[in-house]
Amino acid sequence: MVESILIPVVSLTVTAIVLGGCIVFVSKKYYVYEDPMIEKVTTLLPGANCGACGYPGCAQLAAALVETKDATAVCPVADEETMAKIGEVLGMTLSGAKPLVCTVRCQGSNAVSKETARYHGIMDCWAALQVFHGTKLCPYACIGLGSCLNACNYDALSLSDGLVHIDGERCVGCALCISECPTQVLEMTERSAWRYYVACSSRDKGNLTRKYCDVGCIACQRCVKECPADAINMEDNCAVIDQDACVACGVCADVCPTNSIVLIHDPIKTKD
Amino acid sequence: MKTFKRGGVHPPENKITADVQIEKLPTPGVVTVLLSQHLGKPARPIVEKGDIVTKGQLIAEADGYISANIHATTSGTVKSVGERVPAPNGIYAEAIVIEADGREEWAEGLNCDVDPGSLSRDEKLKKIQDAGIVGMGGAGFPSHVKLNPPKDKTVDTFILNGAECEPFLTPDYRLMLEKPSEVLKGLEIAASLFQKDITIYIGIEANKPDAISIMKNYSRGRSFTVVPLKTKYPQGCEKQLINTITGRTMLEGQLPFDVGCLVHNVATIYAIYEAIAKNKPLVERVLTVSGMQIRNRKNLSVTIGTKIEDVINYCGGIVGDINQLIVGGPMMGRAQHTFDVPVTKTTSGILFIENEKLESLRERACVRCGKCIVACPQGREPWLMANLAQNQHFDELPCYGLNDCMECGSCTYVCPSKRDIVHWIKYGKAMAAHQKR
Repeated sequence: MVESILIPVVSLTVTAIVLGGCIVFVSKKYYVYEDPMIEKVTTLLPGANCGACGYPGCAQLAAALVETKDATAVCPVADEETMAKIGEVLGMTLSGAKPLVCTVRCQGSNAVSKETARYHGIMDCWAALQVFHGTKLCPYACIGLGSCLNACNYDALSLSDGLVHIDGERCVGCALCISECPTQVLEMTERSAWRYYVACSSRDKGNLTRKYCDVGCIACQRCVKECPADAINMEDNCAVIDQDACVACGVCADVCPTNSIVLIHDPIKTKD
Repeated sequence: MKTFKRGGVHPPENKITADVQIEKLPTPGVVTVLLSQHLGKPARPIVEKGDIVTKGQLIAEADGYISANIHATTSGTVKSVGERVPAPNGIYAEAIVIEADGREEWAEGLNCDVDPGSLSRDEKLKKIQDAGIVGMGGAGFPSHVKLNPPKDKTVDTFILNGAECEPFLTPDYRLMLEKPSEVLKGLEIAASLFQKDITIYIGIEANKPDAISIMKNYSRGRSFTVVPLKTKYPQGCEKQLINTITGRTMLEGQLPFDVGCLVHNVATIYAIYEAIAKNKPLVERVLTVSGMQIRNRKNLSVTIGTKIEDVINYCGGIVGDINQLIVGGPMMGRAQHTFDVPVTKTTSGILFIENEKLESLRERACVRCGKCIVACPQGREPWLMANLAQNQHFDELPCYGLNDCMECGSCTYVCPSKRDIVHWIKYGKAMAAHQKR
């Protein structure tokens, strides 16, 4: 009776000691020195392994920061505070990237954009493009099937009414969604509490844009003329606001006949 | 009867317009000539708004070697240059719009008889290039490039493709019946660009016995061999046709001249005849207007640039509802979303279809039945490519013959789960290219 308890206990203990010894031996024998700083920096980084910095993940960026002391290797997701902390650990000043946020330069939801046909194929923007230019008449519009959604690691994008929406609180500005959009309606802009932008990327002439959609930029130039800060330019039949020069007075949005200039309140910046 | 080695399907033939004579559709008041009706770079416009043009005048010149000239398809005034209009391939493309004056006046020196025998090889090639002739079966590859293979390749077999395996379509069949001597003269001209002892075959599917007998009659005393082919889709595809007639197999990435062959379809050969013997550039083509939902189903000789709207009006309008307007054949054609799409050099048919099941069709999971593998004429595994594309493994796709697939649609046709296999493969091709970039 005692044997049936004693034998397994003793044998397992012996095995554990032997194997433990092996582990100790191997870890001593094959020890690779790793800078403890890398570990420290990695824990400070956001840890999403999104790849927006250009490295495969956060640990690799940390290694690059520690080994090369390269001040240009910056995590675009981390805020200034985090980067300052990392700088403290490394004994250098890291400024950190300016916080960016993604914006959709299109307002062509199903309600305002003219529909061309019903689409029954694969629900992906790139797949729809193999057949025709999306269900919207405008060739520059957001196709609205959500190819960008898969690219986002932070769940900041959502689809509703045939248009992509961005949750400004969740978006970290990693820019991974930008290259996934076949019509390139996504754009990174700097975060600021108040921001006016042109929510249209149509490069066609005004009369064509008017045919496509009710809220497109028709290149009438009224905003360019009225802007007190001279911050608006026309590029390829579409207004572009220079965010550095913009004073956020809102005159452009008031004069825009198609309401294609939109004001965004940044949820994070407004909180500050 | 001869046929290709692997795969193939038998869709219902539906050649409703087989007995309808080719009619000339009068040139509409406005023609929209696209700048890109071929593979390669779009042509560069050389006219301006307000210019008066005559029929056959060059209005946009080829931009580079793999490109094709575009001519005014009627006489009149240029209304706009570079305007973006819906194109049959689903995108918006630049076009030249001409307001017709109704006189159909040919440009100087065109539309006259020329003796092809008096021209040298280079002159003939130059004329084909100037006439803007492209493969009119659907791909639109510039013919002067195809007819002038690299010096190190020898072409010993010339094949006239009269298979016309797509259901509904009959333009090539009607051309063979109504213009047999012209088509064969065109074939002689095209073959004269090569060495004397080149073997010439005419491949025609067995469901067109009239065309086979008429071609046999007309080729008497000439060195053409008419080959009846088993009716099976995609018999008219270049790779399958070469395999059927010569027994040679094109490997992945190979072009027809790599196996010593050259394939031209009937419409292209007819255009070559017109260009050389009649001095006419490519300004009109024969196409089939068919499908259950159009009042009069016809074979029409249409001025390039005519909008589908004008074709519908000429054919008596649409009967009932349609939910699919297809340009090309039902297997490889493209669904359109507007009647404003103009006819191009490669439009071989316009189909009006009401598919009741379309709204309720939803693709289901692959059941691994293997029907698509049996149907694939290239001997590939379409289900695997579709599933890989669906699961975003784009880098693995080329290992399974992604670029060998010519999107013939046989797999999608046989799939019991109604999977959009070809669409997934097209998506995979686009994404593989996007990721490489």
